[in-house]
Amino acid sequence: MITIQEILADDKQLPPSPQILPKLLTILQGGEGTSWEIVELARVDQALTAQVLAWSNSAFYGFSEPCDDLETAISRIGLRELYKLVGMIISKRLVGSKVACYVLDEGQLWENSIACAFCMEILATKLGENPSECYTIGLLHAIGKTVINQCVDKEYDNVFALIDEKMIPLNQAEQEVLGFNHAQLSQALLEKWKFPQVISEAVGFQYDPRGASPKCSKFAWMMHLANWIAAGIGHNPGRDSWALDVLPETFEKLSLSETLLHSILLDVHEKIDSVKSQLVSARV
Amino acid sequence: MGGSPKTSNFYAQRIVVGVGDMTTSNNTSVVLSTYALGSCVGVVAYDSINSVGGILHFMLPDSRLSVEKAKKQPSMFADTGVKVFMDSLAELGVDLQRTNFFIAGGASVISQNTENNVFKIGERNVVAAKAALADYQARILDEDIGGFNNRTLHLILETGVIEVKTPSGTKIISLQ
Repeated sequence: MITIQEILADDKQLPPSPQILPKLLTILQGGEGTSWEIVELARVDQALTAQVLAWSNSAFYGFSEPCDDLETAISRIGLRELYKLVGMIISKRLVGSKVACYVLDEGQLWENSIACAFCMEILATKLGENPSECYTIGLLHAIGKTVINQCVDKEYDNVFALIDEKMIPLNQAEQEVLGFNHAQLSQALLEKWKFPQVISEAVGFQYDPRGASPKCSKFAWMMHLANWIAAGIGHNPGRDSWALDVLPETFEKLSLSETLLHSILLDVHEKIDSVKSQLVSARV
Repeated sequence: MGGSPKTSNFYAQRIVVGVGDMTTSNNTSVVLSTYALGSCVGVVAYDSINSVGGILHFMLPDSRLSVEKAKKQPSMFADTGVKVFMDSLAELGVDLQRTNFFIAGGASVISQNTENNVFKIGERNVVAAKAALADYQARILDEDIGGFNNRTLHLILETGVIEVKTPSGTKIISLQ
């Protein structure tokens, strides 16, 4: 049976590191950076630059004059919006392919990641947390699935056999069959890529936030709930759509009411709807 | 030419019904589809005499949550959604006496916490759909509800056949 350490040691099996994201996040949070530094960071990736420009020129922002350089794009849409856009583009490269062992077609895991990112952003706004950090947690919460798809073969069928037989959530079935689950693998990968602890730990403990450290606990609870919200609005495709559990203390931990939860469902659905057509038109 | 496809099948047009949306039609060359029914519920209607049918895909059980949203997008909720769906079917001349209904969806989490009803929204959506349909004395011929899989529905208006697709396979149901 392969271990997380063995998987991480084989770089050929891993997706390319999204180095730009933690760097951008640091600039965004610390206010230490300038648009010039961000432009320099993004410029090394021409495809990324082209997609950022296409998006900032899209009808979504409603500017009459098109812009053809990053500096102008940043001044128009703002740093936070730029970060979200770069996150969407980078995450498509990381999780945009078909993920056969979870029965996810091309683009479906990315769709789920975007949905969770918006869930986290909206939850952050309601709960007074940093929206960019939370957005990143949602965006990268399932990166481990693509790695499992690369490294684990037929053995993975036993995970779904176990879910059907024992009616247990996906993370538990993975633990029993593989010795680890995709959230733990995601955490290890994000740590290797030097993402902030709050992000990697929230991802790692998304299925059981009770184990997270006090510093990261709230974010893990938020991600725990975001998985359910994404499923509730139809954005958790694949064989394991509903093979998840929600701990009863989630409401209490996040001080949420049922009514607020339902209204968050509506907000997230509306947000995704508004962005979806623009993603297509900007060819992101 | 027994067994050869009908001309209309070559031109079959797909109309996709999104979350919080509904569509009705009397065009027999049309297939109505709705994707990713998770805890949401899909209500399908078919009047076999004049080949009129429709699909409603709602997300939440009760419109009292947001009166404003319910006004803007009534199909988002079971109560207001079933009403606009029925009104739209009636506009196409559907006779409820001879119309068959089918409901699907209402998936829930695999929870070991049985008291955890807040998150079993799928079950509540199913209850709300049945209650709203009962107000119209609508005949629910069949259902495919609960479980922990997303579902996709296709209604072929020419035949009244529904395909219910899940990751584990396809089920065929006739509303004739």
